[in-house]
Amino acid sequence: MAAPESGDGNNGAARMVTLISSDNTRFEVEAAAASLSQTLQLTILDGGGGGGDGIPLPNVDSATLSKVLEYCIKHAPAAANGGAPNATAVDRAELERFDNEFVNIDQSVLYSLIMAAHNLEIEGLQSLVAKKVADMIKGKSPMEIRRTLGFPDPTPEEQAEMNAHMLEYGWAYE
Amino acid sequence: MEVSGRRSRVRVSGHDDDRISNLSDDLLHNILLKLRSTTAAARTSVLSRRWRHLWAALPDLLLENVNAADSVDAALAACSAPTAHPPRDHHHAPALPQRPDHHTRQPLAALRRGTPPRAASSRCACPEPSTPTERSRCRCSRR
Repeated sequence: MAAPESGDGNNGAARMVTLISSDNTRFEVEAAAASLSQTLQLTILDGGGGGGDGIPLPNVDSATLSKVLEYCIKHAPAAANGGAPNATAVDRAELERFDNEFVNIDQSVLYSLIMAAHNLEIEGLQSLVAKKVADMIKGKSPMEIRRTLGFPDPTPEEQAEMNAHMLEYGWAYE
Repeated sequence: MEVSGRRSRVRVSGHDDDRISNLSDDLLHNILLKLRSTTAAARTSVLSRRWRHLWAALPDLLLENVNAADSVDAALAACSAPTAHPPRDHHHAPALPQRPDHHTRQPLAALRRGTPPRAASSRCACPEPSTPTERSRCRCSRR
C-alpha cells in the first residue's frame, strides 16, 4: 500500500487535526502547523482534534482562523527544524517576504489577528503583528498616529489636553 | 498542505473607530515594546487618556538620543511616578527598579517567553552617565 505522498513526513501521512471556528467552520490542518499554538499543542499531543472530533475555538472567527492557519502552515517547517539549523538564507528571506506580505492587511483584520495570536499563544505571530502596529506608529507625530490608527478627531478639549501633555513630556520630543 | 474549509468573507466592517484602544494593556504593551525606544513609547501617552500611562509599565527603559541629564530625570520621574513625585535629583537610574509597582508589571514580563521575571535588583546595570551625544541605554529593571 503506497503511503500518501506527504512531503517530508517521516511516517507517511502527516497527522491532521480539525479546528472549528466560532462560526462553526471546520478547518483541517496538519497537527504540526496547529501546534505552533501553545494553547493547542497540549490538546493535540493528547490526541485531540483528530477523527470526527474537532477542537472548538469559540474566540476566533473563520476569516481570522484562516489567516492564522496560513501563517502556521508557512512557519511550521522552520519551527519543526528548531528554527534554524537547516534553514538557508534563502529560506529565511522567503519567510521574511511572506511575513511582510502577510501583515499587509486591513486594520480590522490586523486587530483580530492580534487577539487570535494572543488567545492561541502563537509567539511568532504575536511578535509579527505587534511589530506591524509599532511600525505604523514609528516616526509619526501624535496627530499622525491618531489618524493612522483611526482615532476620531480630538474635541477642542482633548486637543488642549494633548497640547498640555506634550509640554509636560518635552523630553520625549527632543 | 491546504487549509480546507469555507472562507467566510463577510466581516463586521470596522466603523468602530480606534479599535486599537480596545486591546488589553498586555497587548498594547507588546506593541510599545516593539518600538524599542522608551521615548517613542512615551510619545504615545499623548494619544488619549487610555494611552497615558501604558508606556510607564514597560519593563525596560531604552533612552536613545536623549541629550541631557535633565531629560533622563524627566523620563524617570514620568515613568516611575505618574502620580506626581518630584523629579529625582540623580541622573543615574537606580530609582527605577525600586518602584513599588513591580507586581503590576509581572504579566508583561511573563509574556516575554524565555525571560522569566526575576526579582528586581536594586542595582542599576547601566554604564556611567553618558555623554550628550552618546546613546544612553538603561536596562536596569529585569535583565
